[in-house]
This record gives sequence, structure tokens and C-alpha cells, in this order.
Amino acid sequence: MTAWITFKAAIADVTRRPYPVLWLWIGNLLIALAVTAPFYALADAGLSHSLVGRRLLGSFDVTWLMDGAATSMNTIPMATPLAAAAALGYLLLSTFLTGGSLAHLADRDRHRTTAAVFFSDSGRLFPPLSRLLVLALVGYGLALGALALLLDAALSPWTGDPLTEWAGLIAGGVKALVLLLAFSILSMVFDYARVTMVLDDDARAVRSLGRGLAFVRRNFGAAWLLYLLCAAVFGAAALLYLEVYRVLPDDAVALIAVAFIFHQLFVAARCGIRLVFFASEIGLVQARR
Amino acid sequence: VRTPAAVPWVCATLCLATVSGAQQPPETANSYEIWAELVPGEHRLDGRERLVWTNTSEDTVTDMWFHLYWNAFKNSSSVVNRQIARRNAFGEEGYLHPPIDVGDDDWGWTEVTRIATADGDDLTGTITFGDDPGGDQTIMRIELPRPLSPGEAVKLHIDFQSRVPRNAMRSGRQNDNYMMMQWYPKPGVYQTGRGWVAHRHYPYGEFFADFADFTVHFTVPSNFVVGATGREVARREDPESGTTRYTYSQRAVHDFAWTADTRYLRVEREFVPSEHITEDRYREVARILRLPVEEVRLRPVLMTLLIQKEHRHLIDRHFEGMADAIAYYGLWYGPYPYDVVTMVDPPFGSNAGGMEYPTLFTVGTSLLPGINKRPHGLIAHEFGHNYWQGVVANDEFSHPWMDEALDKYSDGKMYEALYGPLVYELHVGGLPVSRYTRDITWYVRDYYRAAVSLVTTLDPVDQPASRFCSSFSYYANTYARGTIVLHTLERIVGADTMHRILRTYQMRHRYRHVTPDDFFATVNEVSGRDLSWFFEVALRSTATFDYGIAAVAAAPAGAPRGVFGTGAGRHTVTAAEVDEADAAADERHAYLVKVRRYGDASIGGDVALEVRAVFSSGQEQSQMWDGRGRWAELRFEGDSPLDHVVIDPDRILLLDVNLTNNSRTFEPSRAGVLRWMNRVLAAVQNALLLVPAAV
Repeated sequence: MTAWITFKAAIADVTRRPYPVLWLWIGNLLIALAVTAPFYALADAGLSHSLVGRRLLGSFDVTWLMDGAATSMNTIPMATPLAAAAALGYLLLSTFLTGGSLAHLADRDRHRTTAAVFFSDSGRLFPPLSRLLVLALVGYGLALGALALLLDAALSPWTGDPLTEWAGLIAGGVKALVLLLAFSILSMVFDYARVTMVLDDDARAVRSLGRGLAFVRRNFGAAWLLYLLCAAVFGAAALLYLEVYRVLPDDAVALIAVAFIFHQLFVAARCGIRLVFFASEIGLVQARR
Repeated sequence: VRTPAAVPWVCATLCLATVSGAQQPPETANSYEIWAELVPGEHRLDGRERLVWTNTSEDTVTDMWFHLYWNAFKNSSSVVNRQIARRNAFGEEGYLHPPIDVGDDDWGWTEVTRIATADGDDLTGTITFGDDPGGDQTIMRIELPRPLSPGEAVKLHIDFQSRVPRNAMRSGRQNDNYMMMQWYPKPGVYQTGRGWVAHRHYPYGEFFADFADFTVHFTVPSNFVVGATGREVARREDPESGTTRYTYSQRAVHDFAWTADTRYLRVEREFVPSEHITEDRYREVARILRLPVEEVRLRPVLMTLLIQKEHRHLIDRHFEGMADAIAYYGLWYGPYPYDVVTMVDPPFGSNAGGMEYPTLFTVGTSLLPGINKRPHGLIAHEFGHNYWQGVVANDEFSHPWMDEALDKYSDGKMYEALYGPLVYELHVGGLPVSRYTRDITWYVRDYYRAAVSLVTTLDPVDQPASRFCSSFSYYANTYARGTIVLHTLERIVGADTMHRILRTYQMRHRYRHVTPDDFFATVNEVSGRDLSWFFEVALRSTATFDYGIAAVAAAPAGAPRGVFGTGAGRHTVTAAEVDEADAAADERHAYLVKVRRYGDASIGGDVALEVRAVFSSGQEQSQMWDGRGRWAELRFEGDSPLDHVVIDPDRILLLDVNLTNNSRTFEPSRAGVLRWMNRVLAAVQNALLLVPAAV
């Protein structure tokens, strides 16, 4: 019951004070534009004067994709470092903005957060949150990697020389479920570590991680229920987005603009859901202390 | 030892069958009778073979070469394993099955323990395996006791013992499944003047053998379900030993395969032509092929399916695909030559799902078959090999494109005609979520085109399977580029003519070995054109086609101005006169177009490329360019501003590696690019949001 009440309060809080959503969305859009701009330039150079490009407005003509893939085969390996750089850049930016967002949500009396205050909080909390991020990267890698190896070894009698296709399918499903469960627990631990770091104004990453771990251990039921509620909201929003996306026409310039706005609304909604995650976790910590 | 000359009679039979279009396979000059017993507990196969081989060449033959392909899996020194190891060293694992990655008990082999003539001449002591430095034993030579004159036959008695390898290259065992492919001593092909053609077992291209009549008796434990080439003609169960002996027989095939598994479900249905083909359809096909309707009529075929139990919900799909293939190939390329066909769904993880043998083929499927028609495409391809390789039998090692490209072209045409384009299938965690990607569609030839540009400069299409630079080059050149060559050929000669070419080629060469020249000659004869240049550049060179529009510009405005003429004829064109002339020129809408040949390959013969200018009023103007030079400048004048220029607007030259540069619009149009980049941007944004959520 605590989880449900906390969740409702978090939604109300984020709805009432959605200010950080703006910065999270802008940060996301800027990085995404930086990533896609070179591809746009390439596509524009090759297609803007070609009938193949004109046909793209009607239906998907695979011709140009095949031609493009074939002619740029040697540059495709560059996509991996580009994607890694974008992911790393976004991770750092997101860590930076998370500090401001958490500070904003933790102070329930604060009705309005100016840009100066938001970025001041972000800057202040960036170093400890970055240390926590490093711990998280190592923790995820070690824990999930080791678990995956263990699962592979445990399931090998069924997957090594299977009698039926079901064996592999079920083993794969079991492995995915166990890894998902482990991921959700790890995710909670590191999220609560961030929350306690901000609430306790304690910059020590290892100590915060310990407090996050202790909190999840003591309140696993409520924390996990809250996690599932947030995940369910995200799932429902994603499904709705995909269904609308499926039928949304974008075969005219005006419709492309409508589609762009629709995509951005969903991205902003996802940022909001991320804030609801944080707000509900803050609420739970405050309620259980 | 020898029988009287049978060659004239055999030739007469073959010719009669071909000319009349008769559907019953003819008797052949060679025959096998084989007894084999499978001992699953020991993975052992004991066999006896009675072989009648007739010298149909014009040479006198003194020896014989056999294939013993299971010796490819005897050790890591076999040719196939050495080649795979080398290629894997270059990181090509994804394209090859890993037969050398097996346990110590997984090796397999075939050993001829005794070979003798029917008269008792023991030839076992003459066995050698050629001079491969690694000691490969996938081919075996024996010396005949006496030279064999043209038309004479030899009867041989062969005893052999085999250990069934763990599944490798589509043969072997996995749990209780046995795929008995390339499993018996089989002679190569003797060709006049060339001698014996018996290839060692390489990773690709394993078929080349004489047509023969087979009767095979194989004994397996009675709890096994079996299938084989041909038709079951006898079955005898022995309750005492718990085994059953099956006898299968088939005329006029060049190979015999069988399979046994305790987990197969066996289902039989009949293909009844009248249930699939209307009279109107027969008449339409007959009209296009210019044949009497009676010649295109099909006959019933007994279809057998051996399917894994977990795939029982896919039984109807398999028979639907099978019937569609029998009807399509039968109508266009000639009635299916046999009265039985068997589909085998090998066990999961066996790497055996997708291979052809006469009247039997394997077709791997999946519990979740997705939204595209599956396994229809694979069924069509493997069944189609009964046409391309099965009865029109090229040397698959020397000219692998001849069956693979022809069959990929054929099954692609069938898929396109019956099922439409493929839908992009997106899977998340193994689950199909293609509901959201349905507007991305294409045909198989679309992505085959991409392969053309990747591998054209690596290898020619028409070369032996072992000589390709890489496994990818083999696949992409043999299957993909070869298929696009045939699509281009179709566009050059026309679709109806292409149908007549393939029909003629198939019916004329049934039960014969063919070479590329046979195919080229049929194309030239039926089309009435000399397309030799095309085959040379498309199949035997490494030059790429790439034509394009390099630039489009408004023709320079301004009438000539200044002083012209001499003496009394000297006159001056004034600026005012020029302005008047320019006003008239503006209404002409004149443009200069520069076309280029970017690739090294050029078209030839009677083929020229159309360059079409389309004006904003809809007016179209075309000029032909022979495409031999590196570039040309063309001038177009229309009644309105130019919209675009396109070279080869009907995409006849599908081998062109870059179709995007084939057209050029006068004004840029960015809406299409924006549409898709908007989608890409959204995808990137959503992917980015996963990053912090994941840590």
C-alpha cells in the first residue's frame, strides 16, 4: 500500500513541478541531433537530387539503403565508436542533469527551480554521482556478466545438444527472466544510492551505495513493487506510442512536422517517467526512515 | 565383368523422353543396389553395394574414381577441414559449419573393406586416394582388371563400413537423428577427353555424378521413422531383432539420400493439379511458352513430410509451400519429373536445414515462423534444385552458379508472384514485433543487389567453388550476383522470353550434364540475339556496372552576339536582338545532361541505355546512349521546366551497383529524406534514454 501511495504522490509531484523534464528533453534532443546530423548530411547529399530520395516519401525504397550500405561498407565500423561516444556523452550529461533533478524533487517545498539553481545543483552533485556511476558500471558488468556465465553453465545440458527447439527457447527465456530480475535489483540499489546521496547530502559514493543496498534489502517488497509500477507505466506509454506511431501518416511535409512533435512528446514523457521513478524512490525513502 | 554396349539404347531413351516431354524418368545406363544396416548405439553403418557402371564416353577407361565424402569428417587433415580452418582464421566462421570442432568420438568415415568385380576379381589392393598432401580420402581410385571400351559396363561388388559423423556439412547424427547424405561409395563422372571428374569434398559444391537407377534396402531399429529418395517399395519388420528393413527405389537420379529419426512425424498428402491450377492458368502459361496446353499440364505427386514433433503446427504451411512450388516450377519449367517428393525437417541445431537431394530435401523451420511466408521460400529453393541440379545436372563444383543462381532466381520469382514482397521482421528477445515495421518491404533481389557491389571486384561468378576469395564471396557471387545477372538477363530479353528460355533449357537437358555453354546457347537461340558479351562481362569478369547522371544544367542562355561574317556579309547582332532571341529561348526550356559510366563494365551487343528527361508538364523525351564511352553530353528541350532526368528508367541493368545516381532532379527534394531521418532521430532519442536507465 505504501508503494501505491508513494507512486501516486510522485506522479502528482512531477505533474505539479515538471521543470527538469525540459532540460532532460533538450539534452536528449541535442545529443541525438549531433548523432544523426552526419547521417542526414550523407543521405541528403546522395538522395536530395535523386528520384530514389523522392520515392522515400511514398514508401520505403530499400534501393538507396542497399546502395548506401554497399558504398559506405568501409566506414560502417566507424559507427561503433560513434555510438559509444554518443552513449558515453549522453551518460555523462544525464548524470549531470540527474543531480539537478534529484535536488529539485528532494526539496518538496521548492515550487519553482530557476535554471541557475538547477544547474548549480547539477554541478554540485556531478562529482559524487559520477563516482557512483563508475561503481554502477563496474557493478553491472561484474554482476550481470558473472550471472550470465553461471546461467549458461547451468542451462548447458538443455542447450548444448537439444532434443527439441523448445529446450533452447525455454532456456533462453529463463536466462532472460533471471537476468531481468537481477537487473531490476541492481537498478534499484544504484537508484536508492543516488537518492540517499542527495537526501543525506553525503558525497561518499561507496557509503551511499551501502545505504542504497541496505535500504533495498530492508524494503525489498515495497521498493520492487514501486519499480514494477514505474516499469508498467513506461510499458503502457511505450505501447501507446508504438500503436499511434504505426498509424501516424508522415508522407507530407506538414505531416512530418506533426510526427516530429509526436515523437518529441513521447521523449518528454519518458523523461517525465524517469522523474516519477526518482520522485517515488525519494518518497519511499522519506516514508520509511 | 562386362555387359554388351548399352549406350545407343540409353541415348535413344533419353532423346525420346526429352523430345516428347514425357514425364516418366527414363532408365539409365547405371544402377545401384545397396544394402545398409544402421547400428545407432555404435553410430555404425554397414553396407554392401552392387554397382553397374557403363562407360558412356568415347574413351577406353582403365580405372575408376569414387567419392567417399564421409572421410571429410575423418580428421582435421581432410581438404574440407583444412579449408575451413584456413577460412576461419580469417574470421569467416559465420559462413561455415564447424566440422572440426567436434569431440574425439564424433569423427566419421567410410572405409571400403572389399571391392571386386561380379566375376570375382578382387580390386581392393588397387585402392589409392590420390596425392593430397594432407592425406585426404574423400576420393578413391581403383584399377579395373581390364580396359573398358566405350559402351561397355562393369559390375562391381563393394563392401563398406562407416562410422556416422556427428552432424557436419548436413550429414551425420544428432541424438537419435541420422541424416544419411553422401554416404555410399559413388563414382565420379567420366568425360570424353577430360577423364574422371571426381572432386574432393570442399565446403561447397558437392554434386556431380552420373544418373543411375537406385534400389536401396536399409535396416534401422523399428522405432525409427524414415524417409528416402524415391518411393518405398517394400518393408519387412523383424520382431526378433527389433529392426525394420525398408526398400526404396528411384530411376534416373544422380544421388540417393535417406534419413531416420525416432522423433519424426510422418505425414503424406497428394498434390492434385486440378486443386491448384485452373484451365485458364494452363492456357495462359501455354500461350506464353508457345506450347500446346497438354504439354504444360501437371500430374499428381505424392508429398511426404517428415517433421519434428514440436513443429506439428506447421504441417499445413509445409504442404502449402510444397504444393505452390510443384505448381509454379511445374508450370514454368516443366512438370516435376518424379512422382514423389519428401521434405525433411531436421532436428534443431543440426545445421542440416536447407539442402537438396534428388526427390528429398531438408527444410529447417522454427517454432515462431514470423510474418513472412516461411518456410515457403526455403521449400521452393530446395525443391527447385530437383530442376536445377537434379535433372539438369551441372558440375556443381566447377560451376556452382548454374544451379544456385538459377534456383535462387526461380524461387525468388515464385515468391514474388505468389506471396508479394518481404516484410522487414523485427525481433526483440526472439519475439517477432514486426507489427511496427510493416511499411518496410522489399524483394529478395533488392538485397541481393547490395551483394553485387560488394563482391564483383573480388571474383567472377563462373568459377569453381574452391577458388573464391572468401566464403562470403562464394555465397554473394554464386547466389546473389548470379541471381541479379539472371534478373538483368530477364529485363534485357523480356519476361516471357525468359520463361521460354528456362523452359527450353530445362526440357532439352533433362537427365544430362550441362555446362555454361549449354545455357548460353539456349539463351541466344530462344531470344534470337547474341548475348555472349553479356555473359562474359556479367559472369566471367570482375568489372562493375555503374551508369549515372553526373550533372544537369540549363543550356547556356543568350543568342550569339557580336560581329559575324566577312566583307559585304559582315553584320552585327545587337544586344536588343539578343534579348529578343533569349525571350524565345526561355520558352524552349533547354537543358544539357552529362551521363557517365562510372564502372569498368560496359554494355554491348544490341543493348543501349535509355536516357529519359521528364518535364514538369509531364512531357517525356528519350534518347539512347550506347554506354561504351566513359561519358556523353545530351541536350533535351521541353515545353516546361525540367523535373528530372533518369538513365535506364526501367532498371533493366539491375547489375548497376548504384541506382541512386541513375536519376537527377533539377530541383532538390528533401521531404523523403526528412521523413526517414525524423524516424531515425526518434529511434536514436529513445535508444539514448535507455542508457541512463540501464545504469
